[in-house]
Amino acid sequence: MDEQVLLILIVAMLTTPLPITAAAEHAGALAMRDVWRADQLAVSRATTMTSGHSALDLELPNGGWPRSSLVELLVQQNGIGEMQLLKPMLASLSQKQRVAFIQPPYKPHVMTCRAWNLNERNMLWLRPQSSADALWCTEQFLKNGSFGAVILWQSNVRPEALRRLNLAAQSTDTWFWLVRPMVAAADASPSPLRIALRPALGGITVDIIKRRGPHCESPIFIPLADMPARQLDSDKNEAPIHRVHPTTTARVAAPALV
Amino acid sequence: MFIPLLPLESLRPRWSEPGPYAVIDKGVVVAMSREAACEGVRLGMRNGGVAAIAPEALILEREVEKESAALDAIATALMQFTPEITHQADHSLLLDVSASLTLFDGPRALCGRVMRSIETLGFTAQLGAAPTAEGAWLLARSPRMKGLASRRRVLSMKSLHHRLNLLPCGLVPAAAPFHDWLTDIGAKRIGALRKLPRAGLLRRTNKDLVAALDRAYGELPEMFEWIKPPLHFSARVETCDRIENADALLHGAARLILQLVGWLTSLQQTVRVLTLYLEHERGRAAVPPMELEVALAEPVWHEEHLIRLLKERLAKTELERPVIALRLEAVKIEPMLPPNESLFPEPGGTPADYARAIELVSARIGAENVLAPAYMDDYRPEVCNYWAPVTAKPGKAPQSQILEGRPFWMLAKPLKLLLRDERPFYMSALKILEGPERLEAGWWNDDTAARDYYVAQAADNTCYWIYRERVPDAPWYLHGMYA
Repeated sequence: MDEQVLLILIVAMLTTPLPITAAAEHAGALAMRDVWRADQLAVSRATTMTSGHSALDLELPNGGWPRSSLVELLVQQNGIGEMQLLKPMLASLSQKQRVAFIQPPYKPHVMTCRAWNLNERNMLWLRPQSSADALWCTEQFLKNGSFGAVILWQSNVRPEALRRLNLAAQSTDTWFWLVRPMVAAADASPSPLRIALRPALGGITVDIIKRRGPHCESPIFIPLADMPARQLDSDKNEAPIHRVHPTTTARVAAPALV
Repeated sequence: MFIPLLPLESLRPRWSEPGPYAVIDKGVVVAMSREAACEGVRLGMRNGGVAAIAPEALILEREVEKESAALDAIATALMQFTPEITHQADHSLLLDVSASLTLFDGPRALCGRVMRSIETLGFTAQLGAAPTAEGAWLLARSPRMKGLASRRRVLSMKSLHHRLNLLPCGLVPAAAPFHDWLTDIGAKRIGALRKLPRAGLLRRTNKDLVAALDRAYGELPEMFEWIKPPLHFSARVETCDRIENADALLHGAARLILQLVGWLTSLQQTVRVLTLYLEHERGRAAVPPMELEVALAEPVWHEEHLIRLLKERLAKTELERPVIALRLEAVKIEPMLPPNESLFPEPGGTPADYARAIELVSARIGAENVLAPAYMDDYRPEVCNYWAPVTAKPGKAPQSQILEGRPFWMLAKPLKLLLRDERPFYMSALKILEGPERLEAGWWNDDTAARDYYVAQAADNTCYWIYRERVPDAPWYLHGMYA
């Protein structure tokens, strides 16, 4: 088997100096379609769904968030745009399937969900009292199979719990994200896709720590439309009059009204 | 179905601690546990004899009412396999399963399920299966014989005849008065008895014996009056000790659930609300029983789901006093509807699956912690961001107005910010990007909120939603994060 691949590679190397016609290139691609090059992203039969951010899709194996696998989001802190990163995916998924938030650090805002076109009939917020309960609930939901997406927030997860979650995720047709703090990036994890998130002006910086494919060298900047800073940048040039420091206006306005 | 240890197991179920027990009736041992038998206790022994040979053995008085109640409980639980159940003499139950064989994947699987159900109820059973009822009953009660295949289950008439021929005559109750005579003429086994001339046998014994044999061999038709299930379900089980740990009640609860499932199946009903009563001490310190009500989103009749729900509920319950008995009542029942199947399975799972997941999770973490968005018209972010328990009824239609520019995460309680260089400070100095957005609401009750909201950005580009009250020198508060 190895010899065959080697032979094909040698043939491919031999053919390169010749002028390549379109037909030859096509034939070459056909002959090479079963050969995986080390600089390519892994392509498998796994089902994925586009993340809605083209820059991110280019870097994810199979071009999207993978289904039935444990995806780790390692955040520098909560509330840096991680939900907006998932927003396009959640919005399309929640139209037909259920989305569960398990033990989020803060209260999700219903009004924002409405503004983001999430179908609120399909949303569920669980606030278990203990971490063990949260892991148990997650496992039940994953096993149940009637959820389109499950997002779990945990600060400390033990390695055996991670393995358990990974196994539970593999057995269902659910998209599953685990949001953990950035310090966990140094620990080993069975998750096939680990992504570190850092805040950025008008978007978010994504650093793929682990994926099926070559190492991702540079962080990717994902612009997020709903980030407030973005709007400011756009009207900076048009209306400089608004650039008056708002703190001062507020301080003046407040006593005047009382 | 023959329950050999009924007198013992109606007092001490299988799941209770093993130990030497002996049950006496009118001063004579009628049943004993395996441990007691090892110590030398035998059937028919006197009270004093037991005390002498096995001083550690616990002597229990036989209670006939409890035995018949236990037999009724078994009959109710087994109704999930067939509606045709009747009592037979000598602690036995008769099930006509000829119509249920295909549904439960054949006789072998059905026998396994029946035995497992009886084990859950806390009894030991000997199961005989045969084409005739009398034959099955004789096989179930047949003793283990040396040198013979001890098969108690036969399917064809021919093998039934073969098996019956080998059984001792003493098993047929009608033959008991003639036991000595039959032994003397050499007819020890039923086969030999059958070979005797029929007319002579009729003259010398009675009609019952011949009729019983004919029924067993399938030569006479058999008629039974099947047990009719009651119209209202209420089952009770007494725990043999005072139980102070809610988890330990699960055995008893599982037994009650099994009876409930049998009863539901026989009536073609499903249960929506059921109540488990935990009865405490009676007498001078009597207290009303503790109620555990389990309301289900979808009516069910499945044993596993009900047991898992009760398990989670019991694990959460703290007992104030020891429990001496459990009682289960079906409060609300509904007719069983055949499931609506679709041609192609849907990817999202069935609504019943979802309801089951919600119930299970609610039972463990509490229904108030499983929340879904609800509608509340208000401008105050802490009021309009209203989540209601998912089990509650959904509110009115969604409001038309959607307020843009709200953060995804809201703090449950606004966090007071420090002030540094006259600027709000949260991990780093905050730079105001947008604002103010003025909110004034709640003046109609005492919960007035008059705030100016700003979008602020920290040094690391994280965006926050902060506000200050509209009063002089008001502090800054952090209220949300743009996630």
